[in-house]
Amino acid sequence: MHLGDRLSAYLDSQTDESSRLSIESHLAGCETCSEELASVAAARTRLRALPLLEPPVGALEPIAEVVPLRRARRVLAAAAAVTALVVGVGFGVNGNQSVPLELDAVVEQHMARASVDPGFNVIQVQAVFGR
Amino acid sequence: MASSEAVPTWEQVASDYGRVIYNFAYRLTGNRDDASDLSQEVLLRVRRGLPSYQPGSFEGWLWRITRNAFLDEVRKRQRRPTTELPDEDRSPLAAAPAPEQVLDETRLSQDVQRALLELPYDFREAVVMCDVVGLTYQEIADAVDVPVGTVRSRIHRGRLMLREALEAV
Amino acid sequence: MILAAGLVFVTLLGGLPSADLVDDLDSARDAEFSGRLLVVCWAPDGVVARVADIEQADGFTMVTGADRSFMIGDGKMIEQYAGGIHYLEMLPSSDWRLWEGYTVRDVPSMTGLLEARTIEILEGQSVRARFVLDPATSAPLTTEVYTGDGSLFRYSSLIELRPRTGTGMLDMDEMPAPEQPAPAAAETLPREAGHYWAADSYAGPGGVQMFFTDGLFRFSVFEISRKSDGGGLADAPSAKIGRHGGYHRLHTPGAVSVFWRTPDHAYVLVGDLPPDHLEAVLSDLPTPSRPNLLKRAWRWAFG
Repeated sequence: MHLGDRLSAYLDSQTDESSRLSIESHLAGCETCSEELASVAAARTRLRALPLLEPPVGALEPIAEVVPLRRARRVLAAAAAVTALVVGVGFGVNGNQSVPLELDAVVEQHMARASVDPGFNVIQVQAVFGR
Repeated sequence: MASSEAVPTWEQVASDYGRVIYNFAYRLTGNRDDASDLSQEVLLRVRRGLPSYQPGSFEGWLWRITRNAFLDEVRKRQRRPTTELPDEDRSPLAAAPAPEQVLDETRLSQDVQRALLELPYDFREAVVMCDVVGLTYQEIADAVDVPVGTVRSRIHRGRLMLREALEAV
Repeated sequence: MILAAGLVFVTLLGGLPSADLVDDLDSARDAEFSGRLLVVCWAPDGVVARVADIEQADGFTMVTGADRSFMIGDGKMIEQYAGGIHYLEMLPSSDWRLWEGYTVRDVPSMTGLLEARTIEILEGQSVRARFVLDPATSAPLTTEVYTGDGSLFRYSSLIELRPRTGTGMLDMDEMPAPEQPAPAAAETLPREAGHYWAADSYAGPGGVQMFFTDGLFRFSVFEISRKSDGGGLADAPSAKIGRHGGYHRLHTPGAVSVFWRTPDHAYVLVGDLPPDHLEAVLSDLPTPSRPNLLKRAWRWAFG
């Protein structure tokens, strides 16, 4: 009779006091459960160590109730896609929703970081030429 | 992030939970665009739902919305992405880590992300809600609408599967 | 014993030039002057050239153009244009160092005109870059960058150099608070590409910027949305670089920009590295490819 999923509950402090004590006394004499506990704890640790990522600018900004409209457009687009499939048209990259990129902003952010390094500023700033 | 008696405003939800929701979505989809779209969808649903929200388990309510938004997206796309949520005790206000550290963490976390994606959805969702979002078993049960015993079993088996997948790397 | 001491000495010498180089680089940065700079690049797609007025003081270099000017230095980039000022500051997380594959040597001046100091940076046996420094200001009078096969890739020359007159720089006291991009992690980029290493990564326009350097050249790769239009780079000439087609490449005199897409992302690389280095770097980064037909149809429909 082994502890099974009670081991995870134990790790997560999701057991009451009496269960905790009986789990601990079982663990003391059961190699199988102790090994399983170690495995589960290792996985838990890796998961909890995952970094918290920064959302891109705009991802959390309030959006107006435009979604239904977008949906409507998507339905139309889906119909168009099916048509396109049937006639065997190749697909370009998302003809309907390209995201504009400001190339100047890209170059400037590169240049700004590049200018940290010791060196010939004059050489490094050349990247902005001709933009 | 404890549940509170007062109903938060939409702006509070966006600022307190936005980043966590984004991370949840990111881990489930493994893709920034999808995560952004999904975060917006969740926040929109929260905004629509807040007027009718009855004070209670706010976490359960919020994550039910998040999960449903995600599952709707999955159904729409006929595929099953994966997501994790950030640990609750990592405050969104914490100082930004050094880039070197970010790079290291990314390298290490890629294995975990890959392994997560191999888990069946129910198990993946359970471990992400528990270990990434930091929900209690009861909150997960509320969000997913299954008994607490099922949550416990999914978390445990999910972790065991994850461990196995990581060892196979 | 003597032999051992000699070996130690040689080893030390091997490490010294880059310390000297840092001194040179630092004094070049501290030089104050005004001038006109010519930059010519013999790019694979043709020659591109440009002349610009520059001014350097207080660690900043200012480049003045028709409709806007830039002031760049020490991680700060200030752009002044008709609409106002954009002030960006990058906080580095690692120190500069020179790739071990380079050696630095002083060479006697070939011109005989000046006591100009010439520094060469060698990669293996061949010269990768040559700098001629003004003895008075340490300003780089000319720089030459070579490709791996020994042909000249980029040449720049201060065609006019005069003591700084000193009114052109922007007043730092009146700057608004800078925008400081936060550290961020890329999903798909390696930490090394070619012999370059990733020094930092930041949140960037439309995604994540990973900054690579080898101490002599530097480039950034921006991992962005696949839906990105590439800021016009998608319309740049397409190019096969190394074993892969599907790149769009654009040369300006001072930099190369490359844009490409994979099924999950798009990328922009911008930097001053020479073409053979670029080829080696790109082969270590995600390579251009298209999603399968079904996925494309799906994305075309649903974005």
